[in-house]
Amino acid sequence: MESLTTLLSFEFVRNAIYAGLLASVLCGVIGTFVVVKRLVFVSGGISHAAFGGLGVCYFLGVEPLAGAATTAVLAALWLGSVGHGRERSRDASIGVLWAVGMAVGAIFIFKTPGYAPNLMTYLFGNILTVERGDVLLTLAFTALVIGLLVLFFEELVAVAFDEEFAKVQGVPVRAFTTLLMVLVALSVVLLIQLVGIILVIALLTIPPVIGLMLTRSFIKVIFLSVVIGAVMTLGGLALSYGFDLPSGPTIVLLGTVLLLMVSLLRRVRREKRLRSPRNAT
Amino acid sequence: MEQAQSLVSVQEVTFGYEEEVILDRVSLEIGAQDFLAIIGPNGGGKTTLLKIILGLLRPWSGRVELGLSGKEIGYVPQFAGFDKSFPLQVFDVVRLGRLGDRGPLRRYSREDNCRVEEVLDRFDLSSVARETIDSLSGGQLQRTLIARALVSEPKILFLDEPLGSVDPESRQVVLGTLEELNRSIPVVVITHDITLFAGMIKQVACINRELFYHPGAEVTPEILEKVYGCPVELVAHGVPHRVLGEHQH
Repeated sequence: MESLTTLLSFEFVRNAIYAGLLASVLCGVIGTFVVVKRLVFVSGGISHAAFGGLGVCYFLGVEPLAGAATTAVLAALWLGSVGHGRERSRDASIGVLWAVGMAVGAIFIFKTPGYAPNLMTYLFGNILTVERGDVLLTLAFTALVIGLLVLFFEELVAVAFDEEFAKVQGVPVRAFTTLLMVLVALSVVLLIQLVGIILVIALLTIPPVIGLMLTRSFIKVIFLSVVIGAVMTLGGLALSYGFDLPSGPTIVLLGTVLLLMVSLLRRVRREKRLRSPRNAT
Repeated sequence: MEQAQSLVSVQEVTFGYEEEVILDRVSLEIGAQDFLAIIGPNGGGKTTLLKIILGLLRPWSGRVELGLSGKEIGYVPQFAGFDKSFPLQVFDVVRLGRLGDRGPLRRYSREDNCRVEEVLDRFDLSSVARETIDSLSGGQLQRTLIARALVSEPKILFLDEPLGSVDPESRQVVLGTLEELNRSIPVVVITHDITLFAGMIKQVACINRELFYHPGAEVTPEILEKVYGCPVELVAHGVPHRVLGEHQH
């Protein structure tokens, strides 16, 4: 207890905790849409493309986060417009974007004169380096996401569920899918600080996947994902501190353990139900 | 006379995918009391025409006039265009039919929920209202889609192969509902088997790149017999197309 209070007196620890909690909210909301709308691979493409913009901005001495955000949004808009109903070209576009982003980023960072930034931090993240400004930025963005969710919840669900039907109903489907893609892109960029480019997908997918195993109501999946995200980030943070492990991978692996436990529990419960004398019709 | 009160007007619509023309200068009027069957061979453009009418596809040329807003159009797609593992309950899916183009922050009202319950009851879905859609049988899912289309009390109903995966019991419910609805609104149904709708169909549009329209009076049981062979006829001979026999004017 004593050590916890000491720990909390450090600003970087507090920032890490705030960032973790905010990330959980972002992951819960955005991640649920990513998973149900099958945008997981798209999100991966966006986050790796963002690395390209990040590298270029690093080279130019401009704020890398701005470069990452710009590239991510452009990538999201491009992927959103590529081949509606043409799965193959979209799939391939994601792959190209993915690799080109990494290549551009790596070359520009390599060519940046002077102090070479730690590539590992971008690839795997470090929640302990999150600064106050980052926390405030994430807070503002999370508030925006929640605001939009409250305003347009029914439309977003309708579009995520069945675009064609929503369009017949007169819902501006294109506008909502674009909005969703931009939000995914910006979330990915903000989450990169925490878990890095490679692991950001885990934070967007693991909580909703667990949520979907536990409940079948959309709004409950979102709430559960937020809680699971918080357990992942805060638990991962504690474990990484306790065992001196890198925070990003620890967060992801803790999530994986949770995922395995829940799916195992579900299987056990299902088998029990099957064995018990007919309570199902 | 029918033209005067047509609800939907398709004028000289041409459409295709890539280079291939699917619909070639297709025109069609749908009147207020119509029960129109759209038939034709696979790949002939039935669903494509429907999607153009609904505004889901934009024609290369030609015009579609449909003086109705989103909520006034009932649409039952052929294949559920959604992921069956999506975390929505039957009640929520049906209620999507009442979404329309509402502004921000407008939640569903009590009236919306009442309408949903009514329509669920009508289609014998009340017992599964709180089930998720992945637990439904084919017939239940089809009835859910029809319920979703009807819950907004549409002014016109479009159905794409509504009896495709339906058990005999659901089939009776669906047919009875369509017959009843057609007393007040036009019904447009895409089907490969118009004998299923025998006695209800008033007009037939046969589509195979071009559209051949057969107004109501001619559709007698004997003619329906012949129309059943439509896809085969069309594929075999193309134009001139003699599915309905000689017209006697």
